Amino acid sequence: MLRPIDKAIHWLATINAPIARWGRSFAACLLAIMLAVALAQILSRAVFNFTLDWGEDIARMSLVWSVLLTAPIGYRSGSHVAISAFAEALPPRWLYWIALLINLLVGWICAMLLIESRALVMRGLSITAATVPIQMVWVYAIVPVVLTALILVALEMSLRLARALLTHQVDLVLSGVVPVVDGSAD
Amino acid sequence: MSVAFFWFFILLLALGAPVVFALLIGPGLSLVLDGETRYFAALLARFYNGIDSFPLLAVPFFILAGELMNSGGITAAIVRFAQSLVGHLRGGLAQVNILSSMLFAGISGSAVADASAIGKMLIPSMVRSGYTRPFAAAVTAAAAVIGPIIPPSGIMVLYGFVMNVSIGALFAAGIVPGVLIGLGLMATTRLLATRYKLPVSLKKATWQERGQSLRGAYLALLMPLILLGGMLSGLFTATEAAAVAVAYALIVTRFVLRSIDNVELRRIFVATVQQSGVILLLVGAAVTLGWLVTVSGMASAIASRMVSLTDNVYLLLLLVNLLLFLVGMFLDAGPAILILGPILAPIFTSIGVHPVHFALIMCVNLTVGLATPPMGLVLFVASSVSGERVENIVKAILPFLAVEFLVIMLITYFPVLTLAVPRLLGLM
Repeated sequence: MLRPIDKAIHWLATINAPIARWGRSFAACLLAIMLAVALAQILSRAVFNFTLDWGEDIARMSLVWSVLLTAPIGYRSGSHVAISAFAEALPPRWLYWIALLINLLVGWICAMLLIESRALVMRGLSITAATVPIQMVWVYAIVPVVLTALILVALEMSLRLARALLTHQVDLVLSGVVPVVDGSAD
Repeated sequence: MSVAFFWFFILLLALGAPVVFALLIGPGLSLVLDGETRYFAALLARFYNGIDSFPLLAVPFFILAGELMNSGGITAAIVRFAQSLVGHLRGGLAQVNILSSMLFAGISGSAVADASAIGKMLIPSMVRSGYTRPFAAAVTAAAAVIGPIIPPSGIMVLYGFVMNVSIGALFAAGIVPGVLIGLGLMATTRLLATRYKLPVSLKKATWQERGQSLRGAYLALLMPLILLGGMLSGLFTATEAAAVAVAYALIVTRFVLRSIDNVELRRIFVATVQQSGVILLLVGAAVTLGWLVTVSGMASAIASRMVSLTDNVYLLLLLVNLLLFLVGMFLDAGPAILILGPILAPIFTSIGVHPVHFALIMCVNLTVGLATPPMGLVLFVASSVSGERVENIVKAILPFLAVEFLVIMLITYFPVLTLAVPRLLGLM
């Protein structure tokens, strides 16, 4: 019973850990791009009296990507804000059952939104950004990618909790109801 | 559409679900229950549009600027400058702590960064000088809440974006409440210093020494002036001001002080993107909540219920302050603003409270909540930095919290305290 669960956890962790870290590193690069664009806008307007009309579009696209790309690592590292005071007052086994339910619900809502994201991406095929020749499908494409990554993380978390319940070893470190798997800062 | 989403959300929140997911799962369950699954597309669209906004760039930029200044050793220069001004007073190191927080607030805009930076530097020397550890930690935590009140301020950027209020006006409106809290804390420390015979740790600095310490700190102290000056002169917007703050912090720490290398710079960028990602995902989810609160008719229902309680604006303001104080005990200021702003602000603006005035009441109240038990984030930081138990810090912080609550009452019932500066500067 435990072997398949262990294998699945290992398999999911092998996928989730690098995706989460690469996502964050890529997001950091996008932050540098946002900064460069914002400063270029101020300089071009103040010094050359010329408005970079494409700047805002590029900065917004980078912002959306960078925010969404940090979602998987935020989830895996338990960084998302939660009120843990009430949950921590519960007996560990109750807490683990609730945590399992909530992590499954996270996977469910991400799956529902993933289904809807198809229409969003398809709509992007017919829209081009206002000031740059970029089809919006490339911008919207990050949505299903990140939602898929979040579903995989939710699955990994749920399996870890299920394993702990099955083995009666309730010793996972939780942030609210999320097992803290990836706690590194870099 | 029913309001079941709100009760699901509260239940999930109480059970410890991450707020961002609770904000999405609650409406999701409600849509399934109501048989309105076609609205899932709208849920996703609202979430996406909530993030897709140029003004929100200010959030990662202000975090980045604060991280750069903090890692680059600017904190030490600010503390030295504060020491030269008030270090010679009885309870001088506590006064230095408060003044440093006020000066640091002009750079960081975050209470946690403030508590961590100033606390690491001053709590050990306060303890060595004879202050009790709980008192040192309490002063640090109480003073750190000034961080998001004096501009720049991360939570004001969020409020301004979600509630469509001028961020420049909010920044300007935060100056007087921030200074009032700072002065109130300094006066309280002065009273406690005599009562508890707090030590005099430093000799009075000469004007020459003050000048020297100012030379070390002026690069940091210039930053808020550049930001406010740039915004007021129309040279740049609040969002662009945040980018200028980063550029300035980068130049000062990387090229003038040479205190940050490439490895540290990479770490700072990565830490910033993760911190801001957590906040901005919440913004997206909060925008969906705001939309649901409106379309479900919940906002108007709460408004009519509140107004039916009493039509006295002053009493309603007192009730909302108590509610915010209670919420602040359990929830971080950013999420609380994102969740409660869309519900409460329309009610109070409809009964004649100025949007900027109400914004400041919310921001200041919920920021003070960061230093209140049982879930005060700043209390936890002060506890971690000082090595003191939270419950001991809580006892020591009570006089300071009383002062902060007094300031909240003052800004609530004297709108001029928040509105005078933005009006004077022509920002509203």
